[in-house]
Amino acid sequence: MKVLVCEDDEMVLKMVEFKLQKEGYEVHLAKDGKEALEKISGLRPDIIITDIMMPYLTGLEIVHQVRKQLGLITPIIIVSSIGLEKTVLEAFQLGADDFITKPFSPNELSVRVKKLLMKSA
Amino acid sequence: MIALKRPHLFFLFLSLILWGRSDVFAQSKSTDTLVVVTDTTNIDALFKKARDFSFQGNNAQARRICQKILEKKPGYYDVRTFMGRTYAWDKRYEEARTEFSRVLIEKEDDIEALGALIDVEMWTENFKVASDYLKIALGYYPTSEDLMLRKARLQLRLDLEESASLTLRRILDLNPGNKEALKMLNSMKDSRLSNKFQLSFNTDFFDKNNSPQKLASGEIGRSFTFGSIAYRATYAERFNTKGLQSEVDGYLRFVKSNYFYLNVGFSDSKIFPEVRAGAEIYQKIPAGFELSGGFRYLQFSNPGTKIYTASLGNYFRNYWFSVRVYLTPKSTIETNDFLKKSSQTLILNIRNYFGDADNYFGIRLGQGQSPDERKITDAGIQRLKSLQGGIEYQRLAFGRWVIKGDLGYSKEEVRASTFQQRISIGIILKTIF
Repeated sequence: MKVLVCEDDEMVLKMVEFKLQKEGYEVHLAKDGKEALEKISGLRPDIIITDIMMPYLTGLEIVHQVRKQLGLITPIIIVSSIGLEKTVLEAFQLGADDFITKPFSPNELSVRVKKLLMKSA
Repeated sequence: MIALKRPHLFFLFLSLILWGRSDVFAQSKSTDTLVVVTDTTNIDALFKKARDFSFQGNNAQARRICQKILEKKPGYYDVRTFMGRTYAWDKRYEEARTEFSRVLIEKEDDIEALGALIDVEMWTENFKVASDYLKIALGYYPTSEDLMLRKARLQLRLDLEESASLTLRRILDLNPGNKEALKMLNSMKDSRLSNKFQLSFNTDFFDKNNSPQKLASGEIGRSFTFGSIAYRATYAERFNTKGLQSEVDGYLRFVKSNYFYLNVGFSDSKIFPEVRAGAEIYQKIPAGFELSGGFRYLQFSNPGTKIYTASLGNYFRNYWFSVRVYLTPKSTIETNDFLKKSSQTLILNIRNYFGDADNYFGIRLGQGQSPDERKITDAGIQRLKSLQGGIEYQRLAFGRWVIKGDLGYSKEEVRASTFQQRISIGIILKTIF
């Protein structure tokens, strides 16, 4: 199962990559919104995890692009900081499937990924 | 009536006693816990209590206290990191990672959590992951001796002895008093890279009709168990005269938190001091500062001149700050006030490291002249005013060769109300082998 993680914080990216790889996923990384879209188009991941605040394109713009432009139904998990609840609601309206707030436990993220993948299977 | 055999009677008797006391034991256990965690007013004292429990081997109790603290103060990263460490010590690595990750997801450059996470990956032999984390951590803190020590340990685990030596030598360049680095270096059979070699060239240009002054030096040194020693030969051309000076420098380490600098030099040329000497003690003090105090001795003529010096420095993230003062008391000035009778040199250095400890850019501002620059031609000139500034740039050039460029400017009062301007250009090449 291919997971695309979009996050500009290198440390968070590495920690999530390590956790998900241990769970057996094929993990791909994107450090900014532009790279994220390129990888979504090229790789067609089974699930996308994206931070809201990123260079070039925000997580919201990515959700919009994935749903409206690319027409994909790939499950999307939004990663947000505390205090961005309105943005999270907007993400749901655009078509995101779940969200997780920083700071989060990698275990919790892994459970959400598993749940969404089972649902979409 | 059933007749009970002796062992049964014994156990019945024991049970009755324990039953009578069991509630006391339970109460004292639960009371012990209650006493500790209901008093959450002094969080720092609670944290200390948790550390004490862990030190006594009771990590479970330590974690319970940490949980209580985090309920009250969720952003107390040190507590969460410590809790993670207790999991790691109990070999519950996944839970340890979770705690460190929770800190780093919120504060990606938390050095304690970074170090702890790297340790877990090393202990569980996830060397690639440890290496990735180390790279990120050193990006935040390129001069962190603790992180560089971890890097050296990782390199040794991966049988990269030469790389480990290089890392340890870089630590010792930053802090000649790092005992752990020295211990690791000396424990390596081969590839210790115990030797260093340096060449430097410097030319000073003046605005008046003075000819440029040239300075060139070669230095070779070696690390030993007690510290390091280097020999330096310096050649100068000044005032139509050439001369040579020989010196020996030593950095000696005795305890973890301090080290000594010793210097002695000789020359039979009038453009160098006939005798030079120096001694200084460097001491680590809280909050990452390093304090030093000592003296220099320059003898152009008898008696020589004693110069007292002190410095205060600190590495902060990828910056190094240092301020150094030199005080030269003059017997010709009639006063009991030490500062008033001394000429004063004050030099401020700031360096910005990028990537690692080999690569940096620095600026220097000061008043007065430094006897450590080997440009003092007459100790008496220190009494006159002088302002200086400079920039330096060092980078890893190729292999283990490091190159450094230095550009300086100073305005010096050569006699009363007569100033000269000096531009100094220098280059240094150094390596370890």
